[in-house]
Amino acid sequence: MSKNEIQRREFLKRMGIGSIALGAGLGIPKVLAETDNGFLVENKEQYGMTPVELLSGKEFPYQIKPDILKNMPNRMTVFSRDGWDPVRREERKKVREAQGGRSMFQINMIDKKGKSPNQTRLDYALMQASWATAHMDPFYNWETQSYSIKQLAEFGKWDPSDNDLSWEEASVALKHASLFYGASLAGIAKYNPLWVYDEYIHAQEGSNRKLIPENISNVIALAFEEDYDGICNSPGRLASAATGDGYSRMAVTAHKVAEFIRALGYQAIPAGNGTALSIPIAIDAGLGELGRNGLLVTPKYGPRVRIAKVFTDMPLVPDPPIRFGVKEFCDSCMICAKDCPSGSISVDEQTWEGKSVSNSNGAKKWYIQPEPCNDYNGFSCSNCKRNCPFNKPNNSWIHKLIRDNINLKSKALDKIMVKMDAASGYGVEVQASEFWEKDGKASITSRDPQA
Amino acid sequence: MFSIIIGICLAIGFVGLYNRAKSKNLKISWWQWAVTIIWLLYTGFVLKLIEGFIIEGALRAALVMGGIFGFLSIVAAVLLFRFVFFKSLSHE
Repeated sequence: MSKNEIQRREFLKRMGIGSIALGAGLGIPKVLAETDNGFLVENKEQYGMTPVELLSGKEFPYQIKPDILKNMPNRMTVFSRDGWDPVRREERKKVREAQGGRSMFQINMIDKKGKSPNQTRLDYALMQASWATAHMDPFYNWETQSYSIKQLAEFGKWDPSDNDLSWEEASVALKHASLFYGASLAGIAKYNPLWVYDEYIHAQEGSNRKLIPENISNVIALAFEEDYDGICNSPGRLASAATGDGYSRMAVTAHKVAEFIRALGYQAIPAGNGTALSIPIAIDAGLGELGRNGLLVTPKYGPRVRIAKVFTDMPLVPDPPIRFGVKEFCDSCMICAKDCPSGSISVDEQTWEGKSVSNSNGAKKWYIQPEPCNDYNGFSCSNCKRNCPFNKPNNSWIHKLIRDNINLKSKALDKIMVKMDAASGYGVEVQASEFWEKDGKASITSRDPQA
Repeated sequence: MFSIIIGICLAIGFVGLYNRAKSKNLKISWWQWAVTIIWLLYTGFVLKLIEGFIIEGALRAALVMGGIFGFLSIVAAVLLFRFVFFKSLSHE
C-alpha cells in the first residue's frame, strides 16, 4: 500500500468522512501531507488554489476566554446602535456637520450633480439596485410560506438511506445544493449557542422575539464572493454595489437553502447579518480564518465575501476548521491597518477585548473600531478588502505560488511578499470608468465555470 | 499557446548553446550544463510570470515583477556567457 493511500485512509478516518463518499468523489480534498494538527489538503472547489490545513481537533483557529465571552446583544451592534443609541446619534451628527450638514448622497448627487469620479449617477444606480433584495423580510422567514414545501415536509423527516446515502454524503449533497442556489462557498458547523445574539437565545422581558429552538444542532455557513472589480473601486460607489449585490444574493440563497431543508422535513432558520455573529460560525464551518481587518479571510476569495447562515436540526456532519497562514501573514502585513482611512483597524497585537461597546469580547483577535468604520464615506468603504493581499483573482498560478509560500508561515517571506504585492500595484483604487469600460463580464469568479 | 512558444524558444536556445560548445570545442562540465538548464528554466518562468500578470490585467505587476526577475535573468545570462560559453574565446 502506498504512503499516499495510507494518508488518505488515515485522513478519512480522522476527519470522519465515509469511504462511500470517497468512492462517489464528493468533495473529498486531495491530501498533500499529514501535519501535527491534521492534514494539508487541496480542494479547488472549496479552497481555490490555496493549500489548506484541515484541523482535526487538537488545534483551533481561534482561542476564547469563557469568562469574558458572552452572547453579544444584537442591539449593541453598531448597525443597531445607529437606530437607538444617543451616543451614536451624536457621533453621526458630528460627521454630518463636518460634511456641511449634507449626506454623501446630497453632496455627490445634488451639490456635485453626479459628476464626481466614482460617485456618478451611473455608479449610484448600480449601487442602489444591487441592494434590491438584500433586506427583504420574507427571505429570512423562520417558517415556510410555500404550500408545496409544506406538502413535502408532511412526509416527515427525510432519511438519507432512502437515497442510498450516508449522513456524510447527505451533508455534501446539502453543500452542493447551497452552491447550486448561488453560494460561492458552503460549510457546516456544529451549532454553538455562544455565537447567537443574546435576544435570540435568552427570553427578554416584554419581547415577543422568537428564540432559537433547542433542537437546533448545526449551522450551514454560506459565503458569497463579491465582484473583484467592484471592490477594487473602494471607496467608490461600485464597492458598495459589490457589497449590496452580495447581501442580495445572501438573502435569496439562504432562503432557498432553508426551503430545501424544510422540504426534507427539518427545521431551517435562515439569517443574513442578523440572529448570530456570522464570522465565528464561518470559521467553525471551515470557510476561513479571521484577519486583522476583522473579516473572514477565505482561501479562495480572501476577505471579498459576505456571509449568510442557516440554522437547522438536520443531523449533518460538520466540517473541520481550517488554517492557511492568515494570522501569521496579518502579523507581518499591516497594509489594511495602515491604509484604513478611518483608522478603525488595530496596528497592535491581538487582544482579548476591544475598545468599543460594539465589540464582541472574549476571543483573542484584532478588534476593530466599528463606529468610525461605519461613519466613513457614507457607509461605503471596502478599502480593507481591496488592499488585502489575499484579495486576488483566483485563477492564476502566480497567486497559488504566493499562497503556497504563505502556508510556510515564515515572517521573513511574508514581509517580502507584502513588499512585492505593494510594488506590483495591487490594492490601489481602480476608477469606475475602467469598470464601465469592461466588456460586461462580471469578475465574480464563482460565476465562471472555468475558474 | 504562449507556453509552447516559450518551450520552443528555450529548446532552440539550448540546442544553439550545445552546438556552439561542440563547434568551438568548449569543455563544459556537467555542473555548467546544469546551471545553463536552470537558467533556461528560470528565464521561461520569468516569461510565464509576465504572461500571467498580463492575462490578469495587472500591467504594473507585469512591469515590476518582470523587471526584477528579468533583470536577475539577464545578470545570470551575462555571467553564464562570460564564464562558460565565451570563456574560451581567447583560446579560439
